[in-house]
Amino acid sequence: MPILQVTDLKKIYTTRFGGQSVQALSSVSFAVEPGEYVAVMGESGSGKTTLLNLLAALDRPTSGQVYLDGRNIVEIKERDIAAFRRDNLGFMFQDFNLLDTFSVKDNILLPLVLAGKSVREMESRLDILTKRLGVWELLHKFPYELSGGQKQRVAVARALITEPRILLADEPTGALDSKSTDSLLRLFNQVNEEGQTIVVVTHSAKAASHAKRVLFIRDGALFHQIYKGLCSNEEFYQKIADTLTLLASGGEAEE
Amino acid sequence: MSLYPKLAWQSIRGNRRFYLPYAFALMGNVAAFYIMGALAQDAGKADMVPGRPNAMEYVRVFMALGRVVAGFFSLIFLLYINSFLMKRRKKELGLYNILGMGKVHIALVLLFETLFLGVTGIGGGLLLGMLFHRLVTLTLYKMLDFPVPFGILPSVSAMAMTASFFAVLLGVTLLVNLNRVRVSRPIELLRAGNVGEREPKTRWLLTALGVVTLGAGYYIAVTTGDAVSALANYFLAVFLVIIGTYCLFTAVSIAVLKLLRRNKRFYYRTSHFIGVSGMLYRMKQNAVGLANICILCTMVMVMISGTVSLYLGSEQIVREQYPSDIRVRVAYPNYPGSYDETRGDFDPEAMLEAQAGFLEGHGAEITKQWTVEELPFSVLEQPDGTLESMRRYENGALFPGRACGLTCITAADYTAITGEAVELAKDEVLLYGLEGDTVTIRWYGQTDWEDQGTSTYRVAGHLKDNPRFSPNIQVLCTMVVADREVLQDLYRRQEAAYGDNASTIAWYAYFNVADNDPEKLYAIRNAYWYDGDNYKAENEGWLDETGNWRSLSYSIGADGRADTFALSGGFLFLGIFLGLVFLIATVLMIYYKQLSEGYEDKERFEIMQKVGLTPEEVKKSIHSQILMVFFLPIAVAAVHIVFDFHLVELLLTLFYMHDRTLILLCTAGTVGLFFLVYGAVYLLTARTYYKIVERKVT
Repeated sequence: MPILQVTDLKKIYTTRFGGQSVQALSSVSFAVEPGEYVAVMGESGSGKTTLLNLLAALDRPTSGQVYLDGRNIVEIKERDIAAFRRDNLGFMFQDFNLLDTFSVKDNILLPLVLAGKSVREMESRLDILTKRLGVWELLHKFPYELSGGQKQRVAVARALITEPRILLADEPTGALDSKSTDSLLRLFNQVNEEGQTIVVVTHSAKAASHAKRVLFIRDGALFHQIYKGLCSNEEFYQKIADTLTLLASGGEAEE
Repeated sequence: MSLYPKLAWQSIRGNRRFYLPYAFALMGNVAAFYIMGALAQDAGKADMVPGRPNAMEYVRVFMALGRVVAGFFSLIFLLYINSFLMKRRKKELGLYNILGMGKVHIALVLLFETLFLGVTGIGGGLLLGMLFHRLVTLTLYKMLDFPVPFGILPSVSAMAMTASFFAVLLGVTLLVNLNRVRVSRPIELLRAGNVGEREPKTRWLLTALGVVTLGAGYYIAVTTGDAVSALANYFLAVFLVIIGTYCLFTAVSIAVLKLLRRNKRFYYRTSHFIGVSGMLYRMKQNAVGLANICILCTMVMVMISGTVSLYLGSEQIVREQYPSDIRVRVAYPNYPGSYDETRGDFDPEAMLEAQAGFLEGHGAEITKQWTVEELPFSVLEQPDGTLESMRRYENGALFPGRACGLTCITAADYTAITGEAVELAKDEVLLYGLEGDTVTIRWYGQTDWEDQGTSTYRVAGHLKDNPRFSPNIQVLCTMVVADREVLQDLYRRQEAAYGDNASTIAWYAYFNVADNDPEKLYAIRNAYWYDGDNYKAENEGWLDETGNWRSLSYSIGADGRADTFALSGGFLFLGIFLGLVFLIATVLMIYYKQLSEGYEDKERFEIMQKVGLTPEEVKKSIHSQILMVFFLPIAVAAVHIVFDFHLVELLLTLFYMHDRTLILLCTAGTVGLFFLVYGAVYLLTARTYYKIVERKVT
């Protein structure tokens, strides 16, 4: 059974006074199996961030369903949604979104504190996780003291400390230099090999080439998907690049 | 319009959320400054209110003083707002620079902005000032119990003074800004908004300093025993408390929060977790601002409660201090060595008769007359309860002991004052303000401190109220003795002990007359008075039979009443007027704080929601932090007021105000009212805050 099942997802944004409406997602369906590492690719404005927001229950679809572990998150009541998100989903963002008022340790612990876990449990989880992710020595620093790469690793730790069903990442490499990008992507592969399901939204072919499967979105609809299979990262990167070219030229041919 | 004025105008318009309140603040300050100046000038004109030169002089001094305070305050306040504005605008100025404007051009834009602001602020303020000048004058004169004056005209010189003062002030802010632009690099200007936040450090030294100064300030305020030391200590106490307040907000708060954070069980709970770390940062950025607000609030509350108490107590002060239409005060005996043998000792009966005769000779019908005689002198109360006459060491320091002002009156006068009949044996006294069954006064000479023996009395009863109130210069005690003979005996021993520093006996005669119209009384006083210096009465010789006395003063109740009201009304006016100015400043500071908090919190708000906090939780936690941040200053201010109460009470006794209940009521009322106003301001400005934050909440 898939861990995440999306059926016929549609999202239309209407301007405040109802005049104009923009279709961000027309109809999207796909499934993610446990332990999968999926990248969602598309140009800016293709609707990939909208998709991620819907998966994360940060926004409500106009129509369609999102099942997480067989539970339809569209139907979860508004007041339960924050707790649900906290317990089941881990998030990462392009701009890290670390709180500057907290130390690294407290940033990572934040979701557990919100979940009301005991101090003992928090610390044992923190100890294991931060050693695994190599951010252990940063614990007592503050966000302003970290490099971009370090910040993103801390963000990974914060996303994973709740042991979420899925790790959702929105352009995680967008603000990183190439060295930090490589290191982060290796980290993603590592946690994925340890069994973590990951969904990444990106427009970087390099970031996508580390995933096991890539979904392409264009104009709010699923356009294509390719599997990595037994390819190396470089071969898969080439495939992705070809698909992107096809996507772009196909777009022009239609006009 | 050419480019620079246009750019300046656009940036003011674009930043109107910041500039509009600034312009209003400027107008308010200008108007206040102008009105103070104009009132001082009006009061300086002799013909404004005829016949009240004393009272008008009070007003003139008060207003001149008020103008200095208002001016000094404007300087600090405008600089504060300006620095806030410039911080927010760094990015915009950086952008201009990057788009190719040189620093000279930016300076031009700033110059035009200041010009626009100055013209609006000063012009509007003067207009406002002229509009309100008349109203304020009428209110003031009403408070002072003055007749309504005619010809309240705008004062050109006050206007010129005000305009030039504020022009200089704005010039200073412009220079500050220009300097800031000059030393900055464009990339810094552009990025200024989001420099990494450093965690505040615990500053133990400052924390300790804060605890010590605040403690010392409070200690002084609580333990000061008399009005003169209160006056001397007041500024010291205020100074210590101000330093303590700054330390409290900057260092103590952070130390406490950090200690809280160290306690894991406490810290890692949803509400505490966000609250403590959030407060830590808020305190770092806002500490000085909050301390300012706290001090301003305290000042406003002290000023208003003190002046309102004094004003509301004026009737009672007048009643007590000028209980009759006419009062004659005679101090006796003579200066040592100037005793005129032919005249003999002071004869109270002859004096009373002569004074009554004088009044009747001027057509007044006496309805009531009475006399009181008192001997006030200072003693040192020892730990065992005995009183010693004052002695000083060679360096001028007093011998140890609690200084008391002891006033002695006779039983007959006590009855005259209170209407309560008492009978005392020669060795018996009634006592107010001292404990024990006996009173022993040990007399020492001044030069060689030789022991001159003791006077001992049995205490026949303790009095609940002080029958003779005077300014609380020392701890006040009153002793009612059997008769004049005992009083004279006390005087002689006192004189022997104190020598040149001995007190005289004060004899008072009070007269009420049937027709107590102030004009008639003035006429009588003028008949009595001669040349302002000498007494006509003396020259005419009708006091020859009254014996030797040192000095005589003649006063009428109406004068005392006018002076009391002029003083307390002037204080009240100043208190309320400056209180309003400070209040406006407080309001604006809160407003600007809300704005900056809003911009700060916007981002945090979003992140927390993404991490799994419900919007309600976020709102609740931020709301509670904001509440704490805003009510902390006024809560601390209220604590200051509680400790300050004793000092204010003592200081008010200098103005003969000693109605504790009334002072307490006025203080409580002021604090309560202030909390209400503050709460209302908070709610209003909180809306601005939510508008900024809520825009991005999904």
